[in-house]
Amino acid sequence: MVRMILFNLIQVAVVMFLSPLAVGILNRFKERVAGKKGPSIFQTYRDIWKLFHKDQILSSESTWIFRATPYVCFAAPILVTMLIPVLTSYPLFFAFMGDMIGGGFVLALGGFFATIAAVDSANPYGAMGASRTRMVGFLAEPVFMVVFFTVCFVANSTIPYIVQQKWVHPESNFFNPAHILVAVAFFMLILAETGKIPVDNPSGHFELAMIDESKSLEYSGSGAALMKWAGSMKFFVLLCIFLNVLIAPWGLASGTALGDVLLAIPLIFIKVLGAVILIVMVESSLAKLRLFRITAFLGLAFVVAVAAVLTRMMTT
Amino acid sequence: MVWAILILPLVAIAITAAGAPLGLAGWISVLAALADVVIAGILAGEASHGRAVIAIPHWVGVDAFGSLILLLETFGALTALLFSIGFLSQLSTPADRKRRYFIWFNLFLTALYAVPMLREIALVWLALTLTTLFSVFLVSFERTPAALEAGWKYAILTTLGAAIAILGVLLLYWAESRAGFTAFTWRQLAASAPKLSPAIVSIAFLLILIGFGTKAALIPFHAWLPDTYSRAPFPICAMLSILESAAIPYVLLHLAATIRLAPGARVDQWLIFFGLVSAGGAALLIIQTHEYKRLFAYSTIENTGIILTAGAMTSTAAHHAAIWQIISHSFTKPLVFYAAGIMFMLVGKLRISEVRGVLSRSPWIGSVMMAAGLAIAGAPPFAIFLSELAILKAGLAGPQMWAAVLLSSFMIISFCAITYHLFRMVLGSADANDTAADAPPVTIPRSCIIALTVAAIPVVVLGCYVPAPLAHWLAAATASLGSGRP
Amino acid sequence: MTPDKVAWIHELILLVAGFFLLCSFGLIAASQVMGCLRVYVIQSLLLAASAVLLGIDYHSADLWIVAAIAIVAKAVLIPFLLRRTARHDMIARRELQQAISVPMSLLIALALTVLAYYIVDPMMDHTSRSVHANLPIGFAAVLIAIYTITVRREALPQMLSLLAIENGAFFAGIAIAPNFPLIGELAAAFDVLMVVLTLGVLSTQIHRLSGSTEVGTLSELMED
Repeated sequence: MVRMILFNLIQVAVVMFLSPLAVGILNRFKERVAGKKGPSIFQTYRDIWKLFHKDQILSSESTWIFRATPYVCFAAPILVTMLIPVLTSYPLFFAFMGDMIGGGFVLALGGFFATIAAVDSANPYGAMGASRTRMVGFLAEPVFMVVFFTVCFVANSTIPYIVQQKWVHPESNFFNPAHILVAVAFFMLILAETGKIPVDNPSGHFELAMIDESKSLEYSGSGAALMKWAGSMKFFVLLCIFLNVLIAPWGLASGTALGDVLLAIPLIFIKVLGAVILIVMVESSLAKLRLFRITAFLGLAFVVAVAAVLTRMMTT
Repeated sequence: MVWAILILPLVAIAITAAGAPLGLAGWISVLAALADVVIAGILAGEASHGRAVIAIPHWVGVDAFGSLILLLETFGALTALLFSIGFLSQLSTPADRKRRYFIWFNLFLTALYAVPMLREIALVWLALTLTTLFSVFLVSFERTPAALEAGWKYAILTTLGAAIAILGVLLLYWAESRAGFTAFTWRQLAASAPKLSPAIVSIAFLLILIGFGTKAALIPFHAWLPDTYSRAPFPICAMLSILESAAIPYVLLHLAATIRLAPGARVDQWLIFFGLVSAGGAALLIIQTHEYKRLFAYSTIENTGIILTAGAMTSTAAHHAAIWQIISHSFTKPLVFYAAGIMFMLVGKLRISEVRGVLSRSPWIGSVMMAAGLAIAGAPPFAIFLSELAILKAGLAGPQMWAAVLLSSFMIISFCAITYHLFRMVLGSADANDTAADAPPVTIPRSCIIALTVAAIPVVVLGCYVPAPLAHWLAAATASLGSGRP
Repeated sequence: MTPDKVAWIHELILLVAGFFLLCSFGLIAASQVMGCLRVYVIQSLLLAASAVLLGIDYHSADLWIVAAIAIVAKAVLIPFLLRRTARHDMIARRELQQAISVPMSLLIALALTVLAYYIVDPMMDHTSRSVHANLPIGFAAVLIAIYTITVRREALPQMLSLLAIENGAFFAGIAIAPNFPLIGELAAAFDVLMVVLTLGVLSTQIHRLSGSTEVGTLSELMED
C-alpha cells in the first residue's frame, strides 16, 4: 500500500515537473514549423522561476477570490492526476476517490475560479475573456457529457483504469468506431479547452482577440507563476487522459516494481511528444476561427461524439 | 430488328454531328423516328400474341406491355420531331445550337426507348436516369436565366429521385438474392416473388416509388415541374409528358405486379395513396394555375395519378383500363402541347390572363386548341373520355370503390378547371388594347401543322372505337401485368 | 480465416462506416466549395475501402472491382472533370451561404441518422454484422445528403450532395448486395460521371449568364 502511495506521488511529480517541458517543446516546435528559431524548450521553467522571484501586486478592488484562485487552479490538476492513469495500467491508492466525471468536476472547479477571479479583478479585458471562456465552455459541455456517456456505454464503467483496458481487449476493439470517434471528439475538446488554434490563439498578444489568456492578465509574481504552471499541468493532464484512457494504455507500467514505473516515465513522455506534434500540425495548418464559427467547430465535435454512440448502438 | 430501334436515333446523331446542315439534320431525325414507329408497330404485332420478343436473352427484349409503351414513345417522338422543325425555324438561336438540339433529342430518345426494352432492372434504372440527363439541355434550350434555372431544378431534383431509386433497386436485389436468385431481370424477379422478404421489398418499393415518382412529378415531389414545363420548348413538354405518364408508370406497374406477389408486401396501398394524392392535388393545382403550359403539365400529373391508382386496383378490368389510359393520354397530351405551341406562335404570351379571344383572331387555331383542350379534359368523343370511363367502371365494380369515387370527383374537378381556363383563352374577343391583335397574321410552319394532324389521328380514332387488333393487344399487355394476381 | 482475423475485419468495417457517416456531416459543415469536394473524395475513398474489406469478408472479388471503379470514377475523374467544366472562380476560396446555420443543420442531421436507424430496423433480422454496419449508415448518408441539397444554395455543393446520395446508396449496397451485377455498378459509375458533366456545364452556363451560382436565390419562376 505504501508503494501505491509512493507511485501516486511519483505520478504527481511527473505531472508537475514534466508539464512545463511539454509546453516548452510545443512552443518551440510551433515556431520551428513557422520558420523561426523559437524559444528554448526550457523557457517555461525559466518563466515560472523568474515569476516566483518577483513581487506580487494586488488590486485594492479585488477580494479573497482573486488571491485564492491561483492555489485552486494549481491544486485541481494535481488532484485529477491522482485519479487517472499516468504511469501505471493498474489502479493506484487514490484511484477510486473519483471517476472520470469527478475528475471533470475538479478541473471545472479550477476553470470556474479562474473565471470569477477574472471578473473580480475589475479589468475590462478580464470580464470579456471570462464570458468568452464560458461561451466555449458551455458549448464544450454537451460534448464532454456525450463523450463520457459513450465511454460508460462501451465500458460499463467510468473509472478510467477500467475504461482504458476495454479498448484493447481484444485488440480488434481498438478499431471500434466508437473508440476512434470518441478519441477524435475528445481531441477537438482538448484544442478548445486549452485554448489552441482553431479556437483561440495562445501566442496572440492582442487583448481584444484573446479568449483564455486574458483571464490571467492581472496576475503578477507568484500568482502568475502558479497560473502558468497550472495551465501547463492542465494541458498535460488532459493529454494523459486522452492518450492513456481514450487512446490506449500502451506504454504504461503493468508490473508493480519500482523499476517498471520509472521506465514508464520516458515512455509516457514519448507518447505526449507524439500528441504535441499532432497539435503542432493542427495548429500550424489551420487558421483561428471567427468567434461565432466556434459554435460550428464544437458542434462538429458534438456530432462526432454522438456519431460514436450511434454507431455503437446501430452495430450491436 | 429490335436493335434497329436503338440504333436509328444514334445514326441520326452521327449524321448530324458529322456536319449535316440544319434542315437535313431535322429531317434525318424525323425519318429515323418514322422508321422506329414502323419497327415498333411490327414488334407490337409480334408481342401481341402474348410472347415476349427477345433480342438477347436476359438483356434486351419487349413483352406486350413494353411494345405498347415503345409504340407510344416512337409515335410521340415522330410528331415531336416534326413539330420541332417548325418550332425551331421560328427561333433566332444560332444554327449550331439548333443542330445540337437534335443531337440531344435523339440521345434522349435512345434512353427513352431503352426503358421498355431492357430486361435487366439495374439497366432500366440507368436508362431512366439518362433520360433526365439528356433532356436537361433541351429544357434549358432557350438559355435565358429562367430557362437555365428551370433546367437546373429539373436536373437536380430528378437526379435526386434517381439516386433514391437506386437505393430501392439495391434493396430489391438484396431481397431477391436472399431468396436464392442471382439474375436481376424482370423474369427472375417474378420467379422469386413468392419468397421475397416483405419487410425489405415494401421499403424497396416505397423508395423506388418516391424516386421515380420524383421523376414523374407525383404530388409531394413535383417542385421542379411547373418551372420546367413553362420554360421548355413545346415539343419537349410533349416528350416529358410521355416519359412521365407512360414510361415511368410502365416501370412502376411492372414492379408492382411482381412485388405484390410477395406475401404481406405493401405495394398497392402506396400506389393508391400516391396516385390519389397526385390526381387530387393536380386537380386543385389546375384550378389556380396562371400559365397554360403549367395547366397541361398539372394535367399530366393528374393522369399519372389516375393511371397508378387504376393499376393498383384489384381487378383485371382496372389494369386493362389503366393501360388504356396510358395509351389515350400519351396520344392526346402531345397533341395538346402542339396546339398550345401553335397558339403561342399566334399570341406570344404564356399567361392565361393575357390570352383572350383566340378564336376570333384565328378561327382554325382557336378551334384546334378548343378541340385538343376538350380532348385532354376528358370530353367525348375523344380517347381519354373512353379510358377514364373504363377506369371508373372497373373501379366501382371492384373492392376499391372509395378510390374510384374519389377519382371520379377529381376527374370532374379537373374537367371543369381545364374547360374554364380553356374557354377564357379561346372564346371572347381579343383585348382592344392588345396591340398584337393588329399585328400581321403569323404564318404557322407547315411541319407544325403536319405534326398536329398526325398526332390528332389516333386521338380521334380511339375516341370512336377500339380496333380489334388493339383490343387483342391490350388484353395481352394486361395479362403480362396482372398475370400473377392471386 | 481465423476468428481473430474476422473480428479485426469487422471492426475495420465498422470504423470505415463511422468515418463514412462523419463525411456526410462534413458535407454539411464544409464552408468552401473545395472543402465540399475534398470531403466528397474522402467519402468515396471510404466507400472503396469498405468495398475492399467487405470483399475479404464475403470472399467476393467483385467488390474489389467495385472499389476500383469507385476510386477511378469518383476520386480521380470527378475532381478532374469538375475542374475542367466548372469555372475557376466557382471553386475559389470563399465562404458558402446556407439556408440553415451549420450547428442547427448538424443537429438535424443527427436526428436524420436516428430516423435512418428506425427505418432499417425492421429489415435487419437474420443479417450479418457487416449489414448491420453499412445498411443504417448508408441510409443515414442518403437522408443527410438529401437534406444537404435542400439547405445548400450554390450549384456545386448541391451537385456534390447529389453525388453523396449515390455514395450512400452504394455504401448500403455493397453490404446487402455484394453480388449485384457488375453491369449495375458500371451503370451507376457512368451515371455519376454524366451527372457531373451535365450539371458542371449547366452551372457554368448559369454562372456566365447571371454572374453567380447561387441557384437557391434564383426565384424568378415561383408560382404566384
